[in-house]
Order: sequence, then C-alpha cells, then structure tokens
Amino acid sequence: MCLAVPAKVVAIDDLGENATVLLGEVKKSISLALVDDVQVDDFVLIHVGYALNKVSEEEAERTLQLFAQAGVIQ
Amino acid sequence: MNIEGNLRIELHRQEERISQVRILSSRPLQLPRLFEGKPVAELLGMVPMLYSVCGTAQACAAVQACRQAMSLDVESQVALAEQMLVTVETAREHLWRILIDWSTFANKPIDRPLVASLSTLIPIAKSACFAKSDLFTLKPALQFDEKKFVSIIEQITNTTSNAVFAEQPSVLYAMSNIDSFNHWLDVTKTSTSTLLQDLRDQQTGHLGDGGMYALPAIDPQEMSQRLAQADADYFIATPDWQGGNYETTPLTRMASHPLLQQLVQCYGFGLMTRMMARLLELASIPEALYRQVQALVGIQGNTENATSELIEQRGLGEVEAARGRLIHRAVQQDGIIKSYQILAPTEWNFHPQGVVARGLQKLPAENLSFLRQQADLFINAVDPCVGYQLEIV
Repeated sequence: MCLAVPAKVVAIDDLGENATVLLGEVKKSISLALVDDVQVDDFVLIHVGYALNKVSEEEAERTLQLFAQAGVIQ
Repeated sequence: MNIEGNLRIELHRQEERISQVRILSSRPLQLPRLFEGKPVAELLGMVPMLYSVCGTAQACAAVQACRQAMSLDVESQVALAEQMLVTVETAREHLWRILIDWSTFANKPIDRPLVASLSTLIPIAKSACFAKSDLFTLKPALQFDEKKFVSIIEQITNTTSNAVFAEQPSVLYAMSNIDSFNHWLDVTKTSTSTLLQDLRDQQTGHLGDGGMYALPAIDPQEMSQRLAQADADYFIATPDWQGGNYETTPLTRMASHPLLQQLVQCYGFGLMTRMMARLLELASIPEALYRQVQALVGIQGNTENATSELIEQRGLGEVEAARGRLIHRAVQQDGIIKSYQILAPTEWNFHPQGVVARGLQKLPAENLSFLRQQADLFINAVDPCVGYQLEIV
C-alpha cells in the first residue's frame, strides 16, 4: 500500500500523454494515462510514474505539509 | 525526493539459477505516527489525503478502527455502503493494472481514453452513497442513489466485457474447467487474452511457483495484542503470524474457485494462476455489487455493533483492499489519537521470505533479459502497484 505525492505540472508533451512535474526541486517525467484534462500549472497526485488524479493547489500544499510534519520531506 | 519509498529487489545468480533473493524496503512505514496527538476527526480527513492510492480502502479501515476505539455503533447500511465503495475501488484498481500493465506486457497499445474514463468511478460511487462532507466520518448519514450506483456497476460490466473478457463478466466467472478456459483463450482477441495465450503457448505460465500460503483469518484481539507489543515496528515491516510467512492477494481470496483449482494442477501457483485469480475477482465484482445493492435497499435500520471485545479505547479496522488485507489500529483517549498503526498487504507479500521472494527464487536464470522480463511479470502478478528497483547480481 502506497503513498501518492502531490506535484505541480510544469510541461506536457505534444501528444498529451506525458508530463513533467516538479517534485521539490526535482523534475520528473510521468504518464497522464490515468487522468483527463490536465493542464500546465495543475497539481496532480503521482505514484510510480503515473498521475492518479488532479488536486487543488490548497490540497497539494496541505498534503505536502503533512509529509513534512511526518519527516519524510524537508 | 522520494516520499513513496521503494523496494530494492536483488536476484543473486549462481550457475544459471537464483541462489538468493534479497528484498530491502525503504517504505515510510512510520508515517502513521503523524496522527498521534491529533483529534480522531482530523485523522479521518488526513488518511485519504496521505494514502491516496487505494484511498477508499484506507479510509474505510481508518473509520472502522476509530469507531471501534470510540465504541460508536454505525447503521448496517452505512457499513455496507462503505464496503461497496471499497469493492468499486478494487474493480478500478484491477482494471487500471490490467489495461495498462498487461497491455504493455503483451506489446499492445494502451486504450488511454478508456483508462482515463475509469477515474470517475470512485467519485460517482461515493456521491451515490454519501454527501461529500460525510464520507468516511464517524457517524455518516447514508444518502443512497440506487440509479447512480447501478450506473457504476454497468460501467464496470461494460469495460470488463468489451476491453478485457470479450464476454460478460458473469460468463467468465462461471467458467469452471480448463477446456472452456483454453477455448476462451483461443477465441478471444483482447490484450489480456493475448498475454495469457503467450503464457500458455510459450509454456511460461508455471513460472514463479513458490507455493501459496494464504494469510489465515486472525482474531482481532490477537492482532491488536500483537500490534501493541514493543517490537510492533519490526512486525509491521516484516510481518509473520505464529512464525509463518503468508501472502494476502486476489489469489488467496479466490483460491476456492473451481477454475483456479484446475489451473493449479497445470501451472501451480505461477503466473497463469495468479493472473487468472485477478481476472476472476474482477469478473465477480458486478454480481457482488448488485447483491450488495439489493441488501442495502433491503436492510431495515439495523446497527453494526462497533462496541468491541477489545480493550476500551482501542480499535482495529480490517479491509480487503485490491492488493490484500489492510489493517489499521487506533488507540484514542477523549477523542485524541494516542497511537496509530497501519499493517499493509505489501509488507506480507514483499516480506524477505514471502511470496514474492519465494516465487522469484524459482525463476530460470540462464538468460538475463528473460529473467528480468519474467521477474517483472511475477512481481506484477502478485502486487502491481508497488514501486521497485530490480537488480540482477
């Protein structure tokens, strides 16, 4: 059972199949196969290379704060 | 930044066989400590945010544990509706992995619009049962919309019929012998059937047979006592039960199905049996959901007695999630969480001596690329959701 991490979408490829997200200061390529209608600047929950669903910026920030409280991110 | 953690799986080769399998985990299993000192209601809001993969099963286990810890009764309809949402999530998880991973293994294109369309299943199913603000809360009010929920069952049925089975799920589920299974494989042209045909025709369906040792039903009091012991962190990371290493997977839930029992005769507990177990579980879901809808409509205001035989203020939630049995344990005082623990199926299945390690040890190791391919298939057949790094040494 696994965690999903919120990340901001900073780029989407021409086919709309993959995106680049910002995880902290690290850029990562992920698949958009599981979600519809993702745009640049959206926040998505990611897990093992897939965006699972979109979340609001507020939800993303709250979740990241929780991870920080738990000590799994700085 | 790797919040999710990882599993490092090492296959050590010696003279064209696997001499040792090592599984090292960096999964953040102590995360639930975050909940200590928080009000129960806040925890119930945090769990689905943090554990959003299988978030419905996680939320259901959390609310069960908290209700029990607070000796709160809940109407039977509420408990049943929550279970139905977990079942929908299991269908979605199985479909996602089958439509994405199995298509990739079979070198078939992924039907991206179909896959993306599944993302609406859970939100619609939830809205058919509860107001959003009431979802997986301690005392929710059921607002069941039968028509909307049935539309979800129809979507699951249609997706499985058209894209996976090329047959009604009930027909696949009724398949009880290997001749009809082989006939279905011969006449079906989906990515799923292509993958299974390859396993059969290339005689690789038996690979990874390290046996099946199903996690038995465990008395909640005994489990709660085990989780209360001083070495609970070690137990959560590498669980065993009375010295035995067990698995908890779709196969352990479906093992009594007559087709699986015949497949075991041919393929043992290797790839074919494990993949068919997931398919049969998926095939069983529409009928199971229809039965649950009828039961929900028929229940007359009973209450589910959450007042447990457990020691007061402690509660255990147990849910069969898509990957296996998920357990949450809560200890609260005056509505504040004093201790919280999660025992996930991943830790049973990826135990250093568990089902994945045993199965990988049985793989042929003559050819490196074949070994890597079969190892990926086997890990996916047991638990398709966990991020891992495979090293062949």
